[in-house]
Amino acid sequence: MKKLNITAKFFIIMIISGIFGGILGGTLSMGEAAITGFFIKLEAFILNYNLIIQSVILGISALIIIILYVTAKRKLSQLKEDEEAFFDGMDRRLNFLLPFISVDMIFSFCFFGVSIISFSENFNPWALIIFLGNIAFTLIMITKVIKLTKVLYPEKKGNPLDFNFDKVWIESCDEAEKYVVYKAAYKCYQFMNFAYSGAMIISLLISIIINIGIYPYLLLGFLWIAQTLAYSVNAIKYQHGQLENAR
Amino acid sequence: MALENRLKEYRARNNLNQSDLGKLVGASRQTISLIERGDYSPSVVLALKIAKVFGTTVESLFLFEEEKTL
Repeated sequence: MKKLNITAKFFIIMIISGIFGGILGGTLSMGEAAITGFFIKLEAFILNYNLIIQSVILGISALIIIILYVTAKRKLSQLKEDEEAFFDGMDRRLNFLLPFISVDMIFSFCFFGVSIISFSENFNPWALIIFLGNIAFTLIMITKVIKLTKVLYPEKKGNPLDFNFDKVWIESCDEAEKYVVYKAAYKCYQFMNFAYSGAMIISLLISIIINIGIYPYLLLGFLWIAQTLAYSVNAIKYQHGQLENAR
Repeated sequence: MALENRLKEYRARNNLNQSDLGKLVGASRQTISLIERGDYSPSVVLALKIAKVFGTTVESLFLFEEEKTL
């Protein structure tokens, strides 16, 4: 009975989604002129003010990163071995700081990508300077935060500038830390499956009104397939005795 | 099903902080903290190592309680 309900629920959701998609697609094609105008204006705005936008966003991010890093470092200098609450507080600070720096680095690549759209016509060298400057900044900050983490957890190994960093780092983690990493990775896998299908649907809807070319589909398709295969191949590998947790 | 533990009690009795215990069993302070809070069930190997440090059995450190069903 429960199985039937789940199947029925699935088909009902699929039918409703199809109807909703059709209505949305129809509405989009009716308001084509207004929506096309909006996207053209948005693109023109981003292209015209790209340098200002990236300077403001990356500048504010850099400031926040420096403040968080300096406060974490200052707090770490008061390290007390017996204070468990202190360790938990430091964990939270460092756990927030690293992803924040990574997001800043991803922003940097996105902004630089926007900057080189008009590469052959009027490329502004400041875009390259900001890009290289921010990449250097984020790499330095990642290295510094990893060093702080090692002060807190001296058993941790790995240099973020080493191409084998992820492998060395995970090998220096104990079983609970690995469990946290693996569980987070699976949640990420689940989320990305939704994100890819969402991005495909959005691309399809936008395609109705604007020609976005074939590359969004090729890129999304390639990434989605790569993720699915990478997951499946590794799952098969681990099911056949390469888990290595018996040591 | 719930896995309760007496790790904090044993640690206090032996005057060990989380970092000390972690070093003795080859785990991080975070892991000891997760186990104590009941957020992580250790592997058999780690549970045996912890029991060995305190000179006791795994059963006296970890209490497995099945949920009562009506």
